Amino acid sequence: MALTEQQIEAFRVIAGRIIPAEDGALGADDPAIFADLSSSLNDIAPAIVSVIEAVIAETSGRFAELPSAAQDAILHKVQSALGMTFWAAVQRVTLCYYRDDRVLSALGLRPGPPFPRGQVLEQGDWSLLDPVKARQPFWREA
Amino acid sequence: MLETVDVVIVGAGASGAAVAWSLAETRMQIVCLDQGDWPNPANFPSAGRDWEARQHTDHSFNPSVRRAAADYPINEDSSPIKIANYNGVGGGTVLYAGHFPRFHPSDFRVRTLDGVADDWPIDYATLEPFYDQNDAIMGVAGLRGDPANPLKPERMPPLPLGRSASAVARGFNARGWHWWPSDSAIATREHEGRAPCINLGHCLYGCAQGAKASTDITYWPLAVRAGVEVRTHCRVREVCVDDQGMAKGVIYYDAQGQEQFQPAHIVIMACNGVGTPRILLNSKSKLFPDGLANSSGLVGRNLMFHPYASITGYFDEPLDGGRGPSNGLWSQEFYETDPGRGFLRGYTYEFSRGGGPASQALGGIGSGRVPIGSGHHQAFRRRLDHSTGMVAICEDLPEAHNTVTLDPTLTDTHGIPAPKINYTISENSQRMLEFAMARGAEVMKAAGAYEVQTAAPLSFGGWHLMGTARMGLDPKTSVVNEWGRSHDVKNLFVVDGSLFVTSAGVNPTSTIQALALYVADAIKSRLATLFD
Repeated sequence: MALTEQQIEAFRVIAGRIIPAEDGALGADDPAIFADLSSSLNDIAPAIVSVIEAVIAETSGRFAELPSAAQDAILHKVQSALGMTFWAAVQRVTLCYYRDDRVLSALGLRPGPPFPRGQVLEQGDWSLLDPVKARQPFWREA
Repeated sequence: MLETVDVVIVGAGASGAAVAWSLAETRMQIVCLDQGDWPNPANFPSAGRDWEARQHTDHSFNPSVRRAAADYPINEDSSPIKIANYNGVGGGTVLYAGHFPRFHPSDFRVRTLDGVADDWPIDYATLEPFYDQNDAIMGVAGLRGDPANPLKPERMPPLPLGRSASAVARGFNARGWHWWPSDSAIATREHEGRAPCINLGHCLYGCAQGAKASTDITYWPLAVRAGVEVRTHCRVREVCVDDQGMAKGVIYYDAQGQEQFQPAHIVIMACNGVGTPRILLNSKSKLFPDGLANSSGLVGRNLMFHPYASITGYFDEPLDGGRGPSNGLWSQEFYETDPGRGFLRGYTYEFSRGGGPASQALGGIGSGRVPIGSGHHQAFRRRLDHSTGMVAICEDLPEAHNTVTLDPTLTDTHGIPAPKINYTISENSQRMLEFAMARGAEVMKAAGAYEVQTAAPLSFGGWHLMGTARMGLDPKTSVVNEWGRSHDVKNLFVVDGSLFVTSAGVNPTSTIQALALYVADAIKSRLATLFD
């Protein structure tokens, strides 16, 4: 199932409120992020349509015109009503948002996939094991 | 009709690979059928930018989410714990964390020691050489000398603790409780052609580096080189029997969807604790109207999972996030029975390092700690890479009413009835989960967490599928004998987690594989009288 252009545009506003452009961060409605997001919605299109319809029903189609706080309140109401259906939308928005190079760089994270470069993991404090090493075996003989 | 082979193995996962490798030295003609394909590490999620998204779509460990061509539907509406699996060469070892603990000696004597469930017909000493053999082939990192376990052979150096496991270790030390670097089937140095771990942090979804031991890169190359044939995209429908009640082969659908009959002198089931009873129950005949090997009525009964509790701590100090394997340490402070705790048997705490940024954000949103809308970024920045946790993997006792049966209407793409799961968490398990969450929270607070979040059971945590074709000495109370041969059909063997009499409080893979090697050894040592 493919979303219509009108549905995609409606969801852009919703996604931009799920993860908003605030506190110096990009929002999920950023053109590049949303282009990535909108290209990966088809497999959950029924859930997206349900979210859009619920938001329209709550706002008489005027969600985009509402102040931020009111939009947040509407989304929380829809979240309560739709449960896992709303979660599917939140999950997809979040997964696409937190793979954008600019978002990751702003968080101090290295953009791109883990492989093949790998990641650094320090050894940690092995002296913590000393008291456990001193313990006698305590497994049960059988 | 295809040429008759000596052995047909159904399933190329953890146990199928081990039994194939061991039997290969007999020079018998061995064919292994698997409904999936060989995994291609180049296609594993961690090699792409969408690595976190694919955990939730085509590389999910939940087949109902993944919906790959090799998957079959499962009716799990009547279970609070959902099945996790991987259908393909390597099986569950492709999508597992690589935890490699062993059962304890006491796990084989549950009835004798604690008065519940049943004793196994074998003991730790019987399996120990096969544990050792399996560790050597899979490649295990860890540290000898764990006071909670019998001494094991030398292993590769343990995985790093990092900041996160160090923090959790601090908490265990403050409580005076046991912890130890966990045994992990993850190479920390080059091992038999496998490259060492580079901390992709993505073990559960397939290791693109090949550092994690999955049987497609451990046992199978050796077995194939020794002459075993692996036939992929072959979905077995049933095991057929002759007029004397001996298995004569299996019917399967090949890659083109054509029905085939593979005749064999020996049939070995290695399809996990759901797949094996499914096929046996679907193998009805005049001689076996209730399904094959089911005179006891126990095929599909006594299904055990490991109910999981999760404990997550939020810290002011920066931690590892998703950098590095999720494995690091375990605690078996509460493994052995202490009736004063309000439950019998016990559990293992297993450290769980953390996820990538999207996973952490979703965890925060899901728990209500990171809002959607206003305040999202501030809350997330505070929590990013500042949390870590562990799970408690609780021993599940066998109960006959927890079952795998055949769904009366749901079928896979070949028309084979789908498995139906009926499962409830016992009161004993529930008390254990609650105890584990409470003690786990104490560990996290002692480690310095300013906030602790606990949850149980993990609905997605049905990785371990056990008990549905249990072994035993008495044909009335078990499906196979003490060396894996069906009581009813003397050339039919089971080598997967279905064999388990009890589940212990640890991940089962190393025990499943040790059992497969043990059964293979039993077959090899009895070849002249195998069907007597």
